[in-house]
Amino acid sequence: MKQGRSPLGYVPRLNWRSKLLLLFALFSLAPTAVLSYWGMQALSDQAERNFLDRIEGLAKAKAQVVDQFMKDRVRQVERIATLVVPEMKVITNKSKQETGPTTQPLQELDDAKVLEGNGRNTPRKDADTDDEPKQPLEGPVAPLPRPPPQVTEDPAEKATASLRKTLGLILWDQREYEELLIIDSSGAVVASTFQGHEGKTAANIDYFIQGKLATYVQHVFVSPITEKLTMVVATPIKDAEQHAIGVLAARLNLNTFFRLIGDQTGLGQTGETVVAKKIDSEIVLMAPTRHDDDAALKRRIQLGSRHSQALQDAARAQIGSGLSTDYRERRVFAARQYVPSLDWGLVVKIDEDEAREAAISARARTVALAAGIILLALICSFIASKTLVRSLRELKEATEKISKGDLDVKLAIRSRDEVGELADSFERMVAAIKFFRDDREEEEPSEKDPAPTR
Amino acid sequence: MATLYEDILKIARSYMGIAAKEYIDRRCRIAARDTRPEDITVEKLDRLLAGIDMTAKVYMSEQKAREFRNEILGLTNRSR
Repeated sequence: MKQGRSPLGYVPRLNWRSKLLLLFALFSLAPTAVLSYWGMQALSDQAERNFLDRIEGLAKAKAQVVDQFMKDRVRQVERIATLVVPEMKVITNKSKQETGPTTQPLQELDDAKVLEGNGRNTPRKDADTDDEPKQPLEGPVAPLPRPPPQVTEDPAEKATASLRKTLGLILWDQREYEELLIIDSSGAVVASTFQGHEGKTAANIDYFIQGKLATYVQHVFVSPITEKLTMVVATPIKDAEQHAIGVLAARLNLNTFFRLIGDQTGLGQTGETVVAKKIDSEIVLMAPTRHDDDAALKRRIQLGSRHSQALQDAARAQIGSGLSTDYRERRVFAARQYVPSLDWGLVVKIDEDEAREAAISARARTVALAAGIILLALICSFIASKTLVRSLRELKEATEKISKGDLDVKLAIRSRDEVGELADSFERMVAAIKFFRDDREEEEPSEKDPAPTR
Repeated sequence: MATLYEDILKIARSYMGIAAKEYIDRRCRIAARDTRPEDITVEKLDRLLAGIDMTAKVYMSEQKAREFRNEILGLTNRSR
């Protein structure tokens, strides 16, 4: 490649083929690159928008389902509380007349250990088939088989027996509860589907204190009976005068609830739903997650922490969606929702890498297409430049021959474009030169043939 | 309307360039000795064509000479 002088200094002097190739490449590469980049960007943005729309829809649906589930449980517990009023009135009347013995406190979290120790935490058997053990109820642990009811004339005892039967039936029928307890207004457990709890006191337990005033939902804790996560819904049992004569507390079996939350439909390989509650200055996860079975109550995020921003916002009832980091400190697309009945935040999220997978593969296809277009453009430009340069080279060679005095030139250029016109002009010029040369040769007397002398 | 001579010149220019007038004048003088080139008629065109046929290929390729001749030949139907 030769070097040429230009106002900018020495620049390579390119031949026409190189220039044409360069031009074609430039004009095909630049728009293809711009269009590809623009296309990829648009594709990526569209994929992100679609994705966020999708998980926002999922989050909203899940939040509604969770909210409805809990509202249904609350309504159900409130309904049961109305069913037990007659028996509770009988029991209350009796306890007013008697001063009962001091009851042991109902130690929520210590109970499980006690149960393990004495082996009383056994699965319930079906009442009608005694010989063959049945599958335990889903989640809840049934009470010990009770001794055959003794015939008694005491109305309070009859009422208690009736309560036990009612609660047992509900427990068996609903399968949504681990235990149903009836606590009198002094805090003594008068009836329970778990016999071991009867006679104990719940006077200092939150759900009793709060449940006496109004329906109360105690957030997730580890059940002392099953050592599984549970929640308690407590509601006052009111007489006709709307006085609280006791509290009905229902320990929920959360299997179905967690299945609803953990449903991974539409969440790909990495997506999951996380629920959390703001407790003081922490966000506490309330259910197991796809990536951590032990997340509930154990995973805690400090408010203001750099990661899990979406979960922090959701727990503070700030709904929306966007990019965030999760509790694993991974970048995720997250949609935030709020569950009012539980005061929980709910986040549906999926890893950014997976979410962008479709856009990345589309990008690879675009790059391949762009490369194909550029290659095609290069081949076309090569062929075009070769054709053009061949004609120019032919003309150049003809000119060189003429400059050496050889007018016998023949051009094979037959194109109908500007190069063809140039070749025509060239041939006209050669024809004219030949004519004038011959003409002059005819007019000029030859030196070898001098003019005749007279 | 252009004369026959002007039409011939127009065609010749596209094959002979600046030598066209001198070439055609010379050929016309040979084809019609008694008339000026500008007054050449269709009747004299055959002889002009014969002259072009013989000489044009000296100055250009045979193909071009043939095209040149055929274009002049096209003028024979002009005003007969």
